[in-house]
Amino acid sequence: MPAHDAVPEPETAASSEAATSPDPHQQPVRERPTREQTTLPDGRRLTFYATATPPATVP
Amino acid sequence: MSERRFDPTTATWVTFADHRQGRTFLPAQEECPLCPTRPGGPLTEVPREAFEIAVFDNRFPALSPTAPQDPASDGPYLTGPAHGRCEVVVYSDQHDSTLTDLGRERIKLLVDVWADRYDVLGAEPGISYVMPFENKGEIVGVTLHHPHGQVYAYPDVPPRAASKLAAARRYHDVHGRCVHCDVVAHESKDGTRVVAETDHAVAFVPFAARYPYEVQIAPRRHCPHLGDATAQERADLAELLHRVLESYDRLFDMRLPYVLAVQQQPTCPGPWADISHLHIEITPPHRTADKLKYLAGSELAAGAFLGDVLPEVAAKALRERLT
Repeated sequence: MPAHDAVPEPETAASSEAATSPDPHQQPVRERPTREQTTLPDGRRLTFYATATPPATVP
Repeated sequence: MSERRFDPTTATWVTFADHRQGRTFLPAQEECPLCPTRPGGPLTEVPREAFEIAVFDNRFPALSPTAPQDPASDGPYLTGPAHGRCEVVVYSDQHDSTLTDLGRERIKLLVDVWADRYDVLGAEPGISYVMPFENKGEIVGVTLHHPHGQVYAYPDVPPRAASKLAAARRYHDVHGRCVHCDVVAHESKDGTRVVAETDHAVAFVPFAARYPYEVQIAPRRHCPHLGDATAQERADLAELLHRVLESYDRLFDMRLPYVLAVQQQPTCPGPWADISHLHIEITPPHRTADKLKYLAGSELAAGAFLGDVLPEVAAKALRERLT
């Protein structure tokens, strides 16, 4: 199976904001984009980003 | 072959990458390497039929994590490996679109992508500075029309960023504050150079802009990099970027070419946090619909820019074209 056909594992794009923001009260419950990492046939990295689906609201 | 050479007369590094001479140059749409791979069609760089944003290692990188050359010296000269990363950021699977056309939600996603690539590339060994950028328009050297930008991860802090950080350090030493925080607050209060603003960010023509319709977008709060920005700050940056790009396209009734760059805190260790202030710089080369601002004698040879349009006049023109 070509490398680029491999089923990538969705991830949530990480960031370091929680550690560095001067005002934790401004920190959001952020809808982070989804990230899928795979590789091209020649080994180069390829990452797809998509708008995150908002989490279901708990009544 | 890629290598970096240090010019001892200017104390700057220049990167040579002669393999890039053979890179794809303005291909026909059916041969576009950034379009999604279609059933029965040629394999492109993006082997998926549909996507929002795709990021991949450039096939023709100027900087590479596997740059082979060891450092060497010859008399006054130094050479070193062209270490780093060059990534392509494809904004859409639609070939004929532009960042402006893609709209605010896609630009919001792009801002999140920039933040993620800053984290990913900045964590790699030997990377000191991560800069997302876009060249739009053949006149600024674009070689593929499909809407896309790039991210370069440099092995050192590049000259313009280093110069700005040195100025910010001097300002901080004298005033005890971040120069960008003071500039953004002053611009918002004064208003004459503001193009648009929100609760969390301001878009303005710099007081001493180098190019006539240059615009800078920055958060109001001291925010060294995108990972430090709140969701609302990122959304405001995206909103202002979209509004400025729309205004650009109305300025001369044409799709205005530009160079866009995101300046953030260096990723190498150092006393950066109090002087680094995230900002987006957009630099269109046009001064009228059919005239360009060239880097001529004074600019190129002396490094001394001469302005053709007062920043206050440029800001007013851009404001008048906002929706």
